[in-house]
Formats: sequence, structure tokens, C-alpha cells
Amino acid sequence: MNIEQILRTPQQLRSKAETDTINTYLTAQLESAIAAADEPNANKWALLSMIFEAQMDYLRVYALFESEEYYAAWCLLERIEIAIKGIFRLYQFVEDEYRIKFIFEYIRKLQSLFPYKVFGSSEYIKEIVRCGICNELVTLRKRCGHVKGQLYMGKMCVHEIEQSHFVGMSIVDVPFNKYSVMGVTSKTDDSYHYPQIEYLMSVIDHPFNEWQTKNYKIFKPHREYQTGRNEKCPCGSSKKYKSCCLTKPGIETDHTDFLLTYPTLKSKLKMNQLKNRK
Amino acid sequence: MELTVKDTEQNMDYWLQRPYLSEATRSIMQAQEVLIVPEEDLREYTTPLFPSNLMVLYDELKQYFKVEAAINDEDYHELSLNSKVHKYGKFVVIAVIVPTFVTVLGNYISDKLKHEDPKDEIQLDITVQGDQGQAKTVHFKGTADNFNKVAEKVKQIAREQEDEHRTDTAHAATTKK
Repeated sequence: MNIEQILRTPQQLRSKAETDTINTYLTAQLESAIAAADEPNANKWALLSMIFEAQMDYLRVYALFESEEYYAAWCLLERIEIAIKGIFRLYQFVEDEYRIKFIFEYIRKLQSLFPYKVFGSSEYIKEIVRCGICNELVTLRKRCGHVKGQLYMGKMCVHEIEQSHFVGMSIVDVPFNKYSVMGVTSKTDDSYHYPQIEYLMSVIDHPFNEWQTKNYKIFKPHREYQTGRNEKCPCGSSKKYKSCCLTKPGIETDHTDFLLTYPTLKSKLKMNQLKNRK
Repeated sequence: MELTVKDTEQNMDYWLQRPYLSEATRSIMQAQEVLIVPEEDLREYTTPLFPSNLMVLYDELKQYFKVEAAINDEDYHELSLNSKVHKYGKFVVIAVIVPTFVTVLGNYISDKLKHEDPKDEIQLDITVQGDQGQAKTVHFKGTADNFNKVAEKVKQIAREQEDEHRTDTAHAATTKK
């Protein structure tokens, strides 16, 4: 199996059977290196497995978009982001030979399309921490020598929190833990709308299509709103309508333009449909 | 951005006297160039706390300076706040090594944040201690690209404290004559 060629072409569509075969191959190579106590090779195969998993998870995000499982996609985006930060610590990319830099950039772009603004942030004290490799206690002055984030015989060193003390929760707008979105837990418990993601899916053909967004304000006509002068302005400013957008050409609203680097089949179809309507 | 400077009594001697320290810990804290000091009375927790992942910074600083933390090993706990403000802790630094300290710290922060959102904020306190034990604390909360303002402020304080010491020494020498 030419694993190098496979990893350099993540944009190539593969069946589930092919993906399973690749995963089985990577696992077998890793286990073989571990059995031979060959740490450099074990670490190499572990890293390649991490890269392949990040690529496949990125494709899964779009599958979740297709099935409108947006919150699940959001959580998966965060897991890929964390995994790729770990990959960056382990490997210096020459260019973007495995498209990992591309995926990292586009994770950020996709996250910006979500409507989530408010998150729960847990606060806890790490009381007893152990090394994930040797299970020794980790204290400030006594260490086992294993470094968090490094690979040892194909296994990444993490610090396992054996005992913690929950202190509280905060409501934040810029969270460390992105999964903790207020107001959604699953597809069936989701009051948000995802118009930007829906639009993106209507114009791209493939997860590796290149696109940018441009955000700016537009004025929506006053006639589209039934708001009284003394009611809160529809723009969301909390001011009265008469003191806010009523004095402007329209209701000031966020607008996003999607700019494709290259036209896609879907975008061409959309343009034709618009032309035909006119 | 928050960047404030104030006089403080919390110099190295202050932290050496903290009641929760054992004699063994006090012994290893002596004659350090940098002390990493905890937050006390945070969230009503009874022991002092350090920000998440401070241990990694401790290891990094140990490569360049004589550095210790004002805490017993068994009492070292990190508080994980999980907001996107990257907290780097509180440091007491002797004036003469301040220029090197801010360079090392700046490089560390830059490396840690290279894959993070450039709009993320960082937070830290640096107390500069002069030869006579006089101390000033610089508190900073802002984006990493403003760290240079912290570095400049801290270096300025260190220079002022060194100038004060030279003036005092010269005055003492003149008075002796």
C-alpha cells in the first residue's frame, strides 16, 4: 500500500471499505513497530495515523452538514482542531504535503459560520495528575521525564487528571472548550439556525474547494419590519428603533459574501438558475 | 488592553514568609532570580493556585534562570478556568535579569500562541524587584502582539531601579568621605 500517496490525496473520495482498509494497515504497522520495540517507527506510524484520522474527520464534518447535524459537526471541528495542534507539535511540514494546514485553516473558517455566541466554561482545580505513559504522579518538582504532547512508542503523552475539584461555571463568549454551547445538545435539541452553512453547502462541490468570506453591514428595507418607533431596534442594538436604525437607510444587518476561488458545478448551476428567473 | 503599574510590598522576602510554605521550600526559594508566585484566596479555595499549564513555563524558565515557585510541591495545584484568556501567572523578577526574562517569556508566549486566534488575550503580572527590595508590579491583559508594551514598561522600571541604586550608592560613598 502506498500510504504516502494516500495521505497526500485526502481530497480523493474513498469508500468506507477503502478507509477501513487504510486504518487497518496503519494500525498493523504501528503494532508491528511496537512489538519490535522500534520507537522511531512506532512514533512515525502513530503520527501518520493521526494525520489520516484528521483528514477523515474533516470529511465527516461535511457529511454531518449534509444530514443537518450541525452541533455534532461543531464538536468534531473542535476535536480535529485539537488533534492538529498536536500534529503541529510533532511534525514540521515542508509545504502542506498532507493538506493538514489547509484543514486547520478551513476549520477556523467553518467555525466562523456557526451562529453560536454563548458558551458554558467550567472551572476546576487539578488536584492529582498522572502521566499517561508511566502513570507516575506529576508534580511541579518531581517529574517522570515524559513530556506532555510527545510520542513514546507510538503513544502520545497526556496528563490524566485523577482528582479534580469543580469550582464553578461561567458564561463566556470566547470559550476554551468550544463544545459547551448554550442551548443545544443534539440535532433534536437545537434552536439555532445555520443559514451560512446551508448556503456554503449549496455552492461547494467538495470539502477541499477553496473559499473565503467577506463580512460587512447592509441595510435591509424598513418596510420588511413591523417594528414600532419606541420598540427595540430590529438590528439588536437594544436602543429604541427611532434612536437607532430608523434614522438610517434601513436596518443595519450583518451580511456575508462567499467568494469561491474557482467556480464549482453547484455555483454555476445556481448562477444559471438566477439568470433563468430573470 | 489593561496595562497598569503600581508599587507593591510583595517582593521576594514577602513571598518567602508566606505561612503555607515549609522550611524546605523556603530553603530552595532563597537567592532566586525569578519567583513564580500563586494567586491566593481565589474562588475561596484554601490553598494558593497557579494557572493551567504553568508547569510547562516553569520548565522553560529553568533553562535560563534560577527560578522557583512559592509553593510546596505537594500543594501545587493548577486552576483551569477554560475561558480563552491565556493566563501566564505572576512573577517576581530581580531587576538585573529583566531584559533577558521578558525576551524568554515573549518567545515562549509567541511559540505557544502561534496556532491560536491572534485576537486571544493573555494575562500576566511581573513584579520587578530592585537591589534594595523595592518592587513595582506591572499587570497586563491584552493581545499577544501588545506584549512588547509590557516588555518595554518592565525594562523601564528595571532601569529606574538600577539608576536609583547607583544614585544611592554614589550618595553613600560621598557621605562617607
